[in-house]
Amino acid sequence: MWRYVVRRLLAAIGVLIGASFLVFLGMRLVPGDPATAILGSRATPEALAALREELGLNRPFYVQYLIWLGKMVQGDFGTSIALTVPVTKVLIPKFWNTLILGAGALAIAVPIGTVIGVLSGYWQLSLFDRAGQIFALFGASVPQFWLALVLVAVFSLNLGWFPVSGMYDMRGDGGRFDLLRHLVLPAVATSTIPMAVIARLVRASIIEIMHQDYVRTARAKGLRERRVVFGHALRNALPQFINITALQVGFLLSGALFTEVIFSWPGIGQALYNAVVARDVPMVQGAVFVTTLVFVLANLAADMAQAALDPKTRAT
Amino acid sequence: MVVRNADALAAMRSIHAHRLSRRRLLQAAGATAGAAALAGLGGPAPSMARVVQGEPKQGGTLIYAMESEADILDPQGASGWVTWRVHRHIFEPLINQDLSRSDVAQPPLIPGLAESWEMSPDGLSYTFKLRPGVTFHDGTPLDAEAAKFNIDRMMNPDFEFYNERAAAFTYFCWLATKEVQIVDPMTIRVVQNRPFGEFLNQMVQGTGGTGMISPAAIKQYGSDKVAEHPIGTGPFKFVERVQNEKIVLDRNESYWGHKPYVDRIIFRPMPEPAARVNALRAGEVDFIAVPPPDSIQSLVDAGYTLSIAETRNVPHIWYIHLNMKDPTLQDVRIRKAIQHAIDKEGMATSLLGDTVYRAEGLQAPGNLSFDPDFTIYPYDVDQAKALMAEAGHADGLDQQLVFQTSTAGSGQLLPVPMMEWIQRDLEQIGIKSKIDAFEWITYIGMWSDGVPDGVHGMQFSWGQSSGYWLDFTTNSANATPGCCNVGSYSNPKVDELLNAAFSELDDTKRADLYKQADKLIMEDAAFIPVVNDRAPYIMAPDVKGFVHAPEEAFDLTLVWLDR
Repeated sequence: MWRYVVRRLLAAIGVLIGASFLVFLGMRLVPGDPATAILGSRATPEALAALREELGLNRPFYVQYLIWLGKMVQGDFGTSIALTVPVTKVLIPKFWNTLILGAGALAIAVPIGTVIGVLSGYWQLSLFDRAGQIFALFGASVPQFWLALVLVAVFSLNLGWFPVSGMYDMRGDGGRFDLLRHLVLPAVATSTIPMAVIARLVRASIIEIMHQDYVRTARAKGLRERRVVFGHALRNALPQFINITALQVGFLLSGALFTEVIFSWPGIGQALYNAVVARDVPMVQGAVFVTTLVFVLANLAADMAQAALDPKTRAT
Repeated sequence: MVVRNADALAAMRSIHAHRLSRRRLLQAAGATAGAAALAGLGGPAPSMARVVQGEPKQGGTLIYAMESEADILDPQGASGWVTWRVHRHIFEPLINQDLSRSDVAQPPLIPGLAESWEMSPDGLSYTFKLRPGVTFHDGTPLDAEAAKFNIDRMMNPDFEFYNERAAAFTYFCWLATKEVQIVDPMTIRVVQNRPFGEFLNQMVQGTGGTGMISPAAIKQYGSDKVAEHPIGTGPFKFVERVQNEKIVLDRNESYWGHKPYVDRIIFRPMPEPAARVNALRAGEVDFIAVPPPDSIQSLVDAGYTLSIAETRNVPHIWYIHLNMKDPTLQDVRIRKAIQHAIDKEGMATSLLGDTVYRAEGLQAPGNLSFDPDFTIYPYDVDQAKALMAEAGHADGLDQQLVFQTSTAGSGQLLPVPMMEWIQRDLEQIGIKSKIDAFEWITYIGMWSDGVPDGVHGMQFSWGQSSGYWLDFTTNSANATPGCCNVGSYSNPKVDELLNAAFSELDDTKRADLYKQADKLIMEDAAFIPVVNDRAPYIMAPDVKGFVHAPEEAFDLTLVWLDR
């Protein structure tokens, strides 16, 4: 088990270093000069040159990258160009807000997606299965920003049930109930794609498992159907469920980008949007890297859980 | 990707939604903005005419949804109108603009932190008598030391707290300034190395403002970190800023001037236009900037108040720099043909729902040098075709023209659909063109490098409530790299007029020189002025007292909430 854990950890670190390089490279390939972005078009050439020196933009690419990587390992993501504050000071609270949104969306996507998937798979080709499939197709295809606008139009503007923007009522005192009210619509809008994907993948894995020999054996033994499904099929499907869910964490974060902008949810997606628009290189790098980190960590956690549950995985 | 989707969405809505009829818009604007514009009870201009909207009430929180996140809260080292609307409530310059009037061509200059000022007859020195008894929000007294400290921060490279960013953004204010002297504890003198007629007008511009920051705060937090602790003298005090979420200001109870009615203002960045409209409808914000043109009519129908400029007086021009080095465009007949071929009126009405006016000259409105009666190049396709034929291109150009623009950006309205409108119009006279659109910050960088070879025009939008703006956009001495004559336009006669205007101290004579220069520039057809924005704002029915001043900013001390 430990060898497996170490191997997975090393692989995750490799992925992170690769991702950090791509993020850094990507921001360097985009045209435009950060020094001009800071000082504006009226700056003197001397001031621009001095700032480029200060920011280390005159150094070779790999030196810039290594300096950046070295600082980042120590938790220093640099200073935001647009906001002139340390990137971490902005990103950490935003990241927390995105986690709240992500947790809300997962709380909707996982149970509903799993139940639809299991029942569709079990009653394959039934009316329920077809309805579930159409629902999943809709969930996977509907553009999230469109859905977000429709939800706002119906549930906020027409029915007045939920607020349309932010995490708290800026005129009120806040509190958990206020947060929950603000969370509902963004979480629903963010949950659709992961919910649909979970439903479809779970369905596929249930169909596969229900055709396995051990299920046939269990039935042949005369076990009650409930026992077959819960004791054998679902238990064996659990590692796959965990894997499917962990993969969705990454998609949740990318989906949150759209909903955060529409609902003015002050999360990492909105910070990234503003940073891209303002050409705030350190902020973009920080936000993309943190998102990558979450994705990698979620998958690592899923691998660990799977290994703990399924001895076959550890052996490979 | 998100940016594109948001743009596409806004653009599509604008194109496909029902059009706002001009008459209805004007009616709505007349009923609401007119009243709002003239209200402003208790404002600093007691002589103005007013329409009373009831007795102003004290208290409440005003939430304003802005179209993008603000820049840093350093009034001297930040750019953009969005940020200036925040800054001018926290910080004040020596002299200020009276934004309590909408019926003026240019906001009048009024005493700010200086209660009076005097220019020497040769224009080489300005003496500012500071207002006694004013303190910064941290208790630091405003005196001559503090004022000199701030000006040195913007223009004296030898000063310990000199800030390059502040120097870059306030360059056009201090470019003729030699030094600042302390005359007595409450008097400073700004010594110029040459007369600069627009000096005082440049002092009140928002992109690179000269608002005064507490010297104690600059010393404590550092010249480049003070933006996190914005401490000025203004009518509101900074409370907190949560990036991408809110900037909170509270009323300054010990403010020297007219105290604001509202207790608190919250500025909320909401870059998605639909999100701003929805938040307004849901009552989560009171007041929004840049409503999508197609949303205005339905909001007005639902009882919201539209405030929009009723005359061409907001300092904004959406225009194209033509590449004057390009062989094809060196023929003035082709440039003139292009001007005649564009249906600006149609664009203003159909595409932008009458939220803009057709532009005539290049000079931006909102200043005395703008000539509202100037007209040239009416929409006339026959005339355009005749000019093309005269230039030997009766069957059209055999080359494709390339125009560059941005996908979005401050003051850019709907850049891509607007450029497509122009593209379609140019086809009528046999000019095929291609549009390259870039992300805004990238585009600003490209723009300041100048129009490259092979590109025929670059679109941009800005303006100032100072006639000097025309100089840095068209004077050959300001050709790129540098700022901001990016199409390398050069006409010695224009330069002569602009240079004469620079040192002309008489406001009327100077304005006249700028008007003459603008006329020559337009006869050269070196720029295509397209539209002037009317800067629409929409507010909840209980927001009262708002004045639509001829500026890209507003004075929220005049606003009160009828709750």
